[in-house]
Amino acid sequence: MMGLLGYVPFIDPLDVHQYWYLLLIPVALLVSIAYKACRVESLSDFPREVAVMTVQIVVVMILLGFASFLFVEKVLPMIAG
Amino acid sequence: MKTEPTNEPRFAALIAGALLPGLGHVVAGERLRGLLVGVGVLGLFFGGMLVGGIDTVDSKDNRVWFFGQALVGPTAFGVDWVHQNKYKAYDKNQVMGASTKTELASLRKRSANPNERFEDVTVSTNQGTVRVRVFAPAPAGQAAPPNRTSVGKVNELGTLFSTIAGMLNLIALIDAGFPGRPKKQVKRKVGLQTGHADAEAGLGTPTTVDDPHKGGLPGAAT
Repeated sequence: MMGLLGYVPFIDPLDVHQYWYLLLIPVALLVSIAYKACRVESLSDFPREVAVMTVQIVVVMILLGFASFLFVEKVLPMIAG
Repeated sequence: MKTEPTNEPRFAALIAGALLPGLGHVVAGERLRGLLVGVGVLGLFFGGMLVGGIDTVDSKDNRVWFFGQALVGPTAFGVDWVHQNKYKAYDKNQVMGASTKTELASLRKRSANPNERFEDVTVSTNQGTVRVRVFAPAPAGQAAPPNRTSVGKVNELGTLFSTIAGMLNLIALIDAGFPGRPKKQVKRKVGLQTGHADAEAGLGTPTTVDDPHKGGLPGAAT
């Protein structure tokens, strides 16, 4: 927890180097809020649409990460070896 | 108040949206939509700063990313101005080696290292003396950098957050300024109701039901 002393929000970076991947959730949520605010015709659909899009982004990113892992750790060694 | 769909560009909404994310929709009469756009775009922009610090918005050292961030509007330029003028300074060794004002002006400011502090120095050039602010090594225990430089994943993600904010504000600007484009309609009953987009694509008859101008719940009997 180095550096929390004297930490100034928005000026100094957060010390989340070990948990950076969890930031996927707020970024997915905020992207969904801004995008769906423009995209849905009736705002009564807004909460559901935002929730669905947030989950879609998070799940697809996890799947893409897993696919990248398989490619780098399994497929590439097979090709090279 | 809601406005009728039209193909005419709404210039007031375009200008307002360029000034502050969401303001374009507010000017166009869609207050709640504008508020939600503002929350999303500014939440991402300041979320990026919260994660990566003020170093994430930098028109000099991160120019390509700043092109995206600039789409947030004057907010991004203001943050960048504060960053360039309050948190960056020249390198002392480079400044002392400058012999002309032109050479001095061509030098680049940089962020502070952990063991440095601000120092005001007077530089003698062939066109007179100039007083500039530099970063200089501080005596032990007296280091006072204006901020901690953000590095690694935290810097990358903070920069990404604020750049996505700019991209989304561009979408919001287009939506506020050019309202003729049909929005997504939610299909309530599969096989019975389709959206206008489907109808345009030849996939069905547009019998959907959300009438945004009536303000009722979608699917409710009218």
